Amino acid sequence: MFKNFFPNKILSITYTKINGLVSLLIAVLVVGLIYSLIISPPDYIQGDSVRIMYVHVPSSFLALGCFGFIGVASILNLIFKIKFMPLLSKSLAPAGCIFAIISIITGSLWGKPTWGIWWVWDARLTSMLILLIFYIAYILTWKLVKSFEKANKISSIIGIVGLLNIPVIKYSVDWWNTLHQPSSITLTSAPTIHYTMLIPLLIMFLGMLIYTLIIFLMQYKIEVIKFKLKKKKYLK
Amino acid sequence: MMDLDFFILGGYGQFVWPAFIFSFVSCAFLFLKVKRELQKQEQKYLIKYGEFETENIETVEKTQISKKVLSGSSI
Repeated sequence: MFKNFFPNKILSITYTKINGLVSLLIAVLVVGLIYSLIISPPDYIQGDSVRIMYVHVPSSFLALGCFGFIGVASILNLIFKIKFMPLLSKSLAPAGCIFAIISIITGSLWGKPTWGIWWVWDARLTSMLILLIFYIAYILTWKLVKSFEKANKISSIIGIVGLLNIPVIKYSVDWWNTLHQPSSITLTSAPTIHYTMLIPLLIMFLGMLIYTLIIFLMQYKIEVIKFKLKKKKYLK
Repeated sequence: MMDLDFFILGGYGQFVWPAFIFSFVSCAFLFLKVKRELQKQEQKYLIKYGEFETENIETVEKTQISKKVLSGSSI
């Protein structure tokens, strides 16, 4: 499986394959939207504002997941110097960044009717904003630093430092008193959310996961092409 | 006649709809941006090298002679 991410292999990704994934994405999203906006019931306290959860939660998960991958890849890159690792992480950053923005904006839109305020400097919201800043710093490093080696080193350091923020985001609701509710879904225990809300949440998560894969594949191909145009021997 | 309740969403429509619209517009924006960039880079690559290296590899793998050589190889 790992072989599929070798630079020469990614060049065989054609528009037919990408369009196939886009068709799958549209099908999943249509089902997800019908569930999220029509079939799933309103919450007994929050009413219909709970529907924002179906875009807010998956985007937050993916923003965290993408940066988690970037952080781990940065460590591997610095230790083992795997040549295509920086290109993999770099390709995942735009999707992760857009999900971090979506998470913050939709969170704010959910916060107003629930808490009566658009924004509050509590642990969860602030740590999520810090994640977005890390994403921006990571992307800007690759854009602004011209030397590949230098950009690789700086971005890897940003990736590793940013990785430390991931557990802070995850456990902020347990460690500090925050307005943000505790997690309804954890890996270690059964979800506290009713299945009528869990199903659309999982469908929307699947849709956003497919979207991340599409953006990642296209961006990775761009990075490999750019690299080969500049420095052909490095990746051979 | 369209059901207005679907848009009003118990008075929360002003928050729910912008959340969904913002999410999908930003995702669509990134998708189109990346797709346009990919087309641009592919064009540049094809101008410089003519074709993608994988096309050569796939062609070699498909040819009869290569198959025979590879099957008889001790490696």
